[in-house]
Amino acid sequence: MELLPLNRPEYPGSIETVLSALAWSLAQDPDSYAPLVFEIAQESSSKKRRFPIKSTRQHGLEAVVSTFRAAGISFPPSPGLEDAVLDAFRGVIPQKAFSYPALPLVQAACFLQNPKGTKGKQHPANYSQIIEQMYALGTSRPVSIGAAETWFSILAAPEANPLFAGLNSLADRMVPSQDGTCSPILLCREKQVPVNPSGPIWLHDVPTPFTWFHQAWNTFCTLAWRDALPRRRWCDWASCIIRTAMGMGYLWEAQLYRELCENLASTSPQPQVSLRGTKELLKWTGRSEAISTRDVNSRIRQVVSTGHAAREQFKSLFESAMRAKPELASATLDDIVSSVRHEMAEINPNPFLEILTESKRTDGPNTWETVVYSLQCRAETGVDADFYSLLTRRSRRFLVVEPGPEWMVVLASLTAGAPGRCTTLGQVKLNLAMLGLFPSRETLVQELEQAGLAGSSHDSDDALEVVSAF
Amino acid sequence: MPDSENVIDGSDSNQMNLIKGGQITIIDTILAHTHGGGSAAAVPGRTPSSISLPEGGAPAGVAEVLGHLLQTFARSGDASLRQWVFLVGGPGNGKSHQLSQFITQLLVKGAHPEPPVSHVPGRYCDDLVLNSQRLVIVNDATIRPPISAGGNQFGHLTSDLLRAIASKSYALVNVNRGVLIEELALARTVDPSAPLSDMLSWLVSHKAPVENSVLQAFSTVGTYYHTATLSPPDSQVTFRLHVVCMDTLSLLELVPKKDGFSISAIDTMVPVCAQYLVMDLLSSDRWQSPAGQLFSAITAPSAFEEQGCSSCSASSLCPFLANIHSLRASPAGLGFLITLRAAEISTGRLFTYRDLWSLAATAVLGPNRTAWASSDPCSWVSSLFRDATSSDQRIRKKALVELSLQRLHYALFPGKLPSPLFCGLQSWRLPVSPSVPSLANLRLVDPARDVTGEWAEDVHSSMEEWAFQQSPLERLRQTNPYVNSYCCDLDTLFEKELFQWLGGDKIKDYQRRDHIRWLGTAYYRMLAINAHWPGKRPLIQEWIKVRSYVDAGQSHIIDSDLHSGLQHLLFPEFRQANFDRACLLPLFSARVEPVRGPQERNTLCVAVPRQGQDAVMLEYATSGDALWLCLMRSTRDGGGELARLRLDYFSCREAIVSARGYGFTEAGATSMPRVERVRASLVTSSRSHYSLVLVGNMAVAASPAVGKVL
Repeated sequence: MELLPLNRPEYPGSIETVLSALAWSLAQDPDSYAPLVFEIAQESSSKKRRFPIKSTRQHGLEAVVSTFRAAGISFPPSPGLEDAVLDAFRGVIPQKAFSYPALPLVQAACFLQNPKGTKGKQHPANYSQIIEQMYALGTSRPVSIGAAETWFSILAAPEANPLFAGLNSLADRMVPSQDGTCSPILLCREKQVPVNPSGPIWLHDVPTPFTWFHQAWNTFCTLAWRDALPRRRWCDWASCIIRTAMGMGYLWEAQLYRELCENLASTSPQPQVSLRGTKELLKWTGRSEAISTRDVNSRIRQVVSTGHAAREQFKSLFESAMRAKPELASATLDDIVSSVRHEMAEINPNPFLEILTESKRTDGPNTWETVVYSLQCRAETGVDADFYSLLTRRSRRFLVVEPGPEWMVVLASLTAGAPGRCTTLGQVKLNLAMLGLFPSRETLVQELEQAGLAGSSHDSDDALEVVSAF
Repeated sequence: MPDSENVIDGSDSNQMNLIKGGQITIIDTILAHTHGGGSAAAVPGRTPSSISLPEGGAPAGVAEVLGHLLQTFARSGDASLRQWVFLVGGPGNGKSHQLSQFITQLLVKGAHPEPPVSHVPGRYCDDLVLNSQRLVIVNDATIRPPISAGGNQFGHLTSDLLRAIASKSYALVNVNRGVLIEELALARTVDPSAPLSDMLSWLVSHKAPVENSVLQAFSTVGTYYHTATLSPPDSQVTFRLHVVCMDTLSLLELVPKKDGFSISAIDTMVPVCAQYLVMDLLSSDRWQSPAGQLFSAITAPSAFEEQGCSSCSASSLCPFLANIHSLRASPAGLGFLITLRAAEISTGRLFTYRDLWSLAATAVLGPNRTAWASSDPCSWVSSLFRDATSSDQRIRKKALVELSLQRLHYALFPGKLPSPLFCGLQSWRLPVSPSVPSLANLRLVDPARDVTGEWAEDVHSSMEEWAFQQSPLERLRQTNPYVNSYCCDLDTLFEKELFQWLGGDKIKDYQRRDHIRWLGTAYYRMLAINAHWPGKRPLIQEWIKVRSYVDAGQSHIIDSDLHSGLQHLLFPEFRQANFDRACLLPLFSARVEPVRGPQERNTLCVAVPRQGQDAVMLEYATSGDALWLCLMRSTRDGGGELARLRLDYFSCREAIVSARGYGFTEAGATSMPRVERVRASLVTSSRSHYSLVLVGNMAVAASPAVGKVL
């Protein structure tokens, strides 16, 4: 039992891996499949792996032409056709990765890779469970349909465009089964039952990055958005939501434990523990400010390392407290903190004080990597340019909040709710506040204007009209 | 300058702010109405207002709609029909001012206020009762605080309208667009089937609701007026809704009128709106626009010379009076209006009445000075006038700088001053008033950023006079009669002092260059205002040309660089011999950038046809003052709009560059996200009948493989 039920993270490399993991969580017997990647980019590094990894990118012009024909598309055989079609599935390769991820353009394409393959590990982090946990933490109601099914059901819904049926048939034929043949993935209906209870009671109605994720994911996973966006962009938006939720979610968690640490390190009468949902997680200042004042790198390091150490310490004390008082499962945060304080009464010196004074601090490298690499821009220009980042690295030392050109588009459009709708600056600010971001009005309006979503009106305050991008 | 005629406002408190020692000057009035001024936002009062404000006239449709409401409310006519009027717009559009005047008229007719339902400071929420009829007034121009925005509580708008339905009352509603959007979002969550949900949806989009709705919308021609009826299920009364959008038409254009009215037959089911037409940029009719009339009223002799300015000892060097003379005269006054209109077209943002007051304050008084907090501007000028005639050269120069920087051509385009300014004030900075945010909109049309045209030749050549120890301003005055009439003694004296200093031995070359450049920049601006040449004038005139074709219903024969540029910008054709004319858009790229030639990797594209029955059509549409380029589905695809692109300076700039080949400008590039999204609308999942094209290296591209959906 943990205070915040959230698995430990591991940076997934490509977010498409997480989306694939979500899809695999709905499949029958996913562990029986070999480690899969879509396309191996660096043969030499893949040879160092301790087990074979299969590439699902298969060649065969005839297969492409015939599956297209079956879907109702007549395409004369052409030498470049097969590469062009298979390239459609190819996502952006992360730095130092050995394989290209597959974009989940159609349902079968989700299975062109699995976390075992993309991470090159027999037991990678359970990404789907992490996402489901975050999804559940974002609501005070019990989750009846999980994040995976919410998304996959829309991806798998009937298509008006025969091209996607063709691509789906093609992808279906590319996934090798246990016996080495290619056969469609069977979905496990039994798995599509409530996957998670709601978050802990003390978290109910607190605006957090998890709340944002829950709302944004539900808004995004609709046929309206799927059909209004180019399919590639629909995939990219899904990745953007996932990576933002992972990055800010784990940062929020670290901030929570850091605050608990500060509280428990205090010898004064117990101050109230305020939740960080409505407080600033990352400082977002205008682009004209000096880089040194905009830097968030050191803050992230500090928060994550303190939070990581505090979590480890808190966990054992919380478990002891729970054994003594099982009713803590439905207690308020203040009650929980009181119980933990009681548990640590005889521990000397105060372990939380030691954490704050850095004598017992560890880095929490996985959490730090997950936070920073999820949010950071992978490439500013070029074919693999990353348009969906929140942070930009300005040097080895400086990391600043400077959203990629499409990050604000995703956030504002999902705030509007549906394609073609509009919202207000106030609502956009509320959504940013859930993520722990509080840019000034000027900065925010500038970002929205650059994205072509708003025209400023200097005295309309929060009533400024913001339109959905599509 | 005591004057009870030229001062304003429906609010008792505002009047108190303006009246100091029994005297209200036009300068007090101007300052009070700028951003941050005490009367910038009108507050409707309970008692009839006895004083009036310099005005430019109501925006299109307001007079007709309020007149109709007044007439029907006072007449107590059909008991089963109630009129509801919505004045919709942003802050500063004049909604509260109109309400204030309307209340005054009703009070004069004998209406009496009912005790307020709830008291909210700054918000008039009394009902007015006349002949047993009730008028609910909602002045909800302020968005709710964010804390309540997240909750499930409706704002004043919805609750007051529900009260109006229950009491079968008339209603006059001032509402901010942002409030409408918030209330609609909440209504959709709380009860999407409620009558008010339909009504709010219509107020936001002006689109006819679904069938069987309690709201029935009527079609109107103008985009500034919409009308509908609302028949709540349990009410025996039908509510006729009139919506006037006060923020859609430019106040610098003529109010659309036909036979003297913006809206005629307003009490029928088929009201007719006069068409809004955009004037030629240089048209002198702009004086008749609301903004023109407002500036005429503000700068009228009755407010200045007749109030004592003529006999003021400082008049010879008074920058305010010089500005007034300049603005009143046709070349510079019209040039000022043209500059403002050019800024509107460039930025796509219309000036509100509040903006116009702020701009008028800047044009007449120059930048706001901190000294004015303790002494009135006229005393400040008088004091500087004494300094300007001082024998101490240092004091004299400082005074001349201070006064000159209040001149129109410096004040409209505030910028960095050379350092140290010639009077030796190293720490002195031009006080760019933070209370005039609308000045930022003028930056795009700053003439000094665009001096390559012939219009600027006079300044080029006059600035060379400096090398011959002659006065550039004198030369400019000789070559340009408009500049001659614009200039005043202050301008001449200032230049003389500056050049005397620049000729000194202690001046370093870089300082000399800085000052000459700065002065030259100011002269370009001075000439441009008089020559009616705002920055980027050719581009703006192209926009107006296209707009005129569209207004005349002749968009199919547009002959314009902008028109052809837009076609090239949105859908550049794949440049390969023996290939049908089409734009190729990559189907699975992260960004939908057209494929213009052979590709390194084989790329699957969709061919967007530009001809034939599948052709995607580009059409123009107007929405108030805005001009849009609409991407229309082919007839085979059922027609209808796919996406639209607002044609503002940024998109037009990029289009003009595209018309003449490849190019890139930083300003134009900011429109690219919007342009890209328009293209992206063609490769969404629902587009299924376009041909697929494979584009690869030279060999493949020479004979592209074309796939066709069966």
